[in-house]
Amino acid sequence: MYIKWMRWLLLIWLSAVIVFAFVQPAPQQQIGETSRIIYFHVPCAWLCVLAFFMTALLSVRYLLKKDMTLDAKASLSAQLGLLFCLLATVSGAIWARFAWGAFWNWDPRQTSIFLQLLIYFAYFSLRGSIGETEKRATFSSAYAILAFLTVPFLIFIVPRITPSLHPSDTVIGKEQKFNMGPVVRWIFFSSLAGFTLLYYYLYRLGAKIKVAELNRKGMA
Amino acid sequence: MSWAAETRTILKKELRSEFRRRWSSALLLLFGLVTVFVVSFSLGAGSLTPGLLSAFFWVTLFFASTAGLSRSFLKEEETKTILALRLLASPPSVFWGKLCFNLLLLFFLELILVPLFFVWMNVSGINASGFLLILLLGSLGLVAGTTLAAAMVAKAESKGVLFVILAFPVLAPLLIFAMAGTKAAFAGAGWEQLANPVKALVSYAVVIGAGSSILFDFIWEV
Repeated sequence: MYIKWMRWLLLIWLSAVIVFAFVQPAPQQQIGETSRIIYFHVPCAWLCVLAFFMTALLSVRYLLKKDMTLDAKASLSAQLGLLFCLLATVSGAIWARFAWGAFWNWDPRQTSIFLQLLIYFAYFSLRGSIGETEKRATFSSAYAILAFLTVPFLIFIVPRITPSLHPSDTVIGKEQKFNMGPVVRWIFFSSLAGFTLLYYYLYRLGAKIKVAELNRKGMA
Repeated sequence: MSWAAETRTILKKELRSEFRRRWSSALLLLFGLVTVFVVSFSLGAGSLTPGLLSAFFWVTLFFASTAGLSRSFLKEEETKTILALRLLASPPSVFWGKLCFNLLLLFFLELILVPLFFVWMNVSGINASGFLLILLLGSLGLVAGTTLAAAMVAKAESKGVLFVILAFPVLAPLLIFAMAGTKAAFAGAGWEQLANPVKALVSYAVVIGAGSSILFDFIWEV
């Protein structure tokens, strides 16, 4: 039921975020106008990881309960994660063109988001190449969990081994704490909350469709 | 039979069946040889920087080993022995037996390919013991990260291609750590510069090895 009014809330909320993101001064003077990307790129990257975490969590639950709806939800979350991963990659590359001078220069952050994309592609290739339903569910769950185990290495250890130019390391990093003003903080966290709600909305809507499909096939 | 004894039995069975199909290990070796040859021949005899050398080294090793590592469960499927194995042995011992065998196979490949790489690419002035440690830990991570993928592709379609697609994203952090460590070792760096890659490689092998062995129970049963 609340799915219905949630779309109106989302429409108003995200419109407000977009308006404020552009009418307020740029959040970071050193980077300039392009730093407005923080309101859209960071939430996309966050959802890319959150969706994959959900896929891994649902996969663990599938392996323990063997309930086909859990597998359907895991693949749904991966679909949404792939969408936000593509958005984060493309928006990041466009920003890099203007901030670093090239669309792509294999910064550790670019490497790790590209690997996250590859993980999603591998996950769907695996699902595509197994015909048997139960086997597909079990294998893709195991793969999602194994791939999720590599995420901490990519996020926490790789940037320490190879230096990065990403603002989260250079501008916001430990030495030069990027102090968000109160306005910037409000817009940023509103955007983060709005995007997370958008993911939740799409997830609930998709889950309804997936469960209905499974029921029609008599497999739920 | 205890878990360790069962693992040893699986490993022995793997070694025996590999010995009986010597031509297949010879093929793997030739495949690796071609990979090393293509890389060093196309680069010519000039001496490269440590960074490039270590990148080429791990790219070569990755592709040279995929042919062998992807086959560990596929051959059971081909000879129709997979059901017997499932009946006779417990999942953890199958996993660790296969993993140990893959590790030995990789060592065998490295024993021939690494000296050839060094000779053909004019590698010199390196921290040899540091390099060997990175190679050992990198090999451990390589088999830990690929054994589960090998078990999966044995039951899927388009096996060979799928193996590389599944294995690469999981192995990517390992390759990054191993390349960083090898680069330092090729530059002749001391132990203090190798400490971070070594720590990262150890934690990778432990986390991915333990995770794979737990997940293997689930996929072996279906």
